[in-house]
Amino acid sequence: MPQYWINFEGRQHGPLSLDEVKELKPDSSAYAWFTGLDNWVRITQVPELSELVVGEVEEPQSAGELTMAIPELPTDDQAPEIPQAPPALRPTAIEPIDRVNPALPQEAPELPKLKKRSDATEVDASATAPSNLGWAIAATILCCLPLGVVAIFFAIKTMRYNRNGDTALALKWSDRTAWLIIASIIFGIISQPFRSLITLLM
Amino acid sequence: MTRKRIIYIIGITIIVAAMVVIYYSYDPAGEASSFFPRCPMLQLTGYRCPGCGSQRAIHSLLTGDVSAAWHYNPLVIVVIPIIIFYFVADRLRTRSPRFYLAIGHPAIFITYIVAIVAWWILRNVYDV
Repeated sequence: MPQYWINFEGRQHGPLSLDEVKELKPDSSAYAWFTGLDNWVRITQVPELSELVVGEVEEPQSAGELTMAIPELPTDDQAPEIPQAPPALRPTAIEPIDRVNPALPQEAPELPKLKKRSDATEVDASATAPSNLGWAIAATILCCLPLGVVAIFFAIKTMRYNRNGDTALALKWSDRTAWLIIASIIFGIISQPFRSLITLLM
Repeated sequence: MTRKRIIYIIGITIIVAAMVVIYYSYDPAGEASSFFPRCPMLQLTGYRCPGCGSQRAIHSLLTGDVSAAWHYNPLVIVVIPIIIFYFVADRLRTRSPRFYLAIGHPAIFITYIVAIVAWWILRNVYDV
């Protein structure tokens, strides 16, 4: 299973599976990295990721715009290479993906660097997303067991992303949990007259 | 404190206060029972859900009869403090993120699901 790191809107996400990259809804301004690449590349240069790009953002043409993007990248010292990267990386970008699994030893030197980064975000994780677990348990017991259990699984997802320091995705799942709970409460209230009617008829 | 948050807190307080007054004043097992919502699962399948008896349990709890509350639905008695704990934890999560991540460990959440489902099965098997 190839894993990707995405740098998007000034935040670094990863390791992510293809599905999780899809969830992130990156636009074409995002950068991508995976094991085997020397440096970050534009997300549009990785064939399987470019399909997931949702928003088109104007390609930074001038040098001024490029320097805006560079500080977001983790490896500042390599930043000057980025303008040259597209033509050079295109052929190599395709090959390493197929070789990700056999080339596992390659991961060892690269991963600790990135792992350390995600630890660093975890330490200052003052911006965690709420799990809404209290609501989810209340919904499970009082309202609607199936929807409530799904809400608890959503809460688990929220906390997984909180743990990885991936606040953007954590917030996304936190919101989904909240909406599911609201839906289950509304369903409970709306269905009540019908349920009373069934009792009367039975 | 943002405006949204104030509205949220006031709204929740009003709803909780109204529920407390209603469940204190009226007994869901008594004369007013037809005004209280019934469990759809019990109505349709004849099997009790994990929350069946929680309205009577809450009424008993509010009127001070803990043993009756435990008899109606022990799960509710156990779960109310847990729910309140996670409400507070969600609000105060930024003060101690590490603690919040610890109490939000996926294994703990899975335990809650397993406990609720186990109670659900056992109460129908042993008819409690």
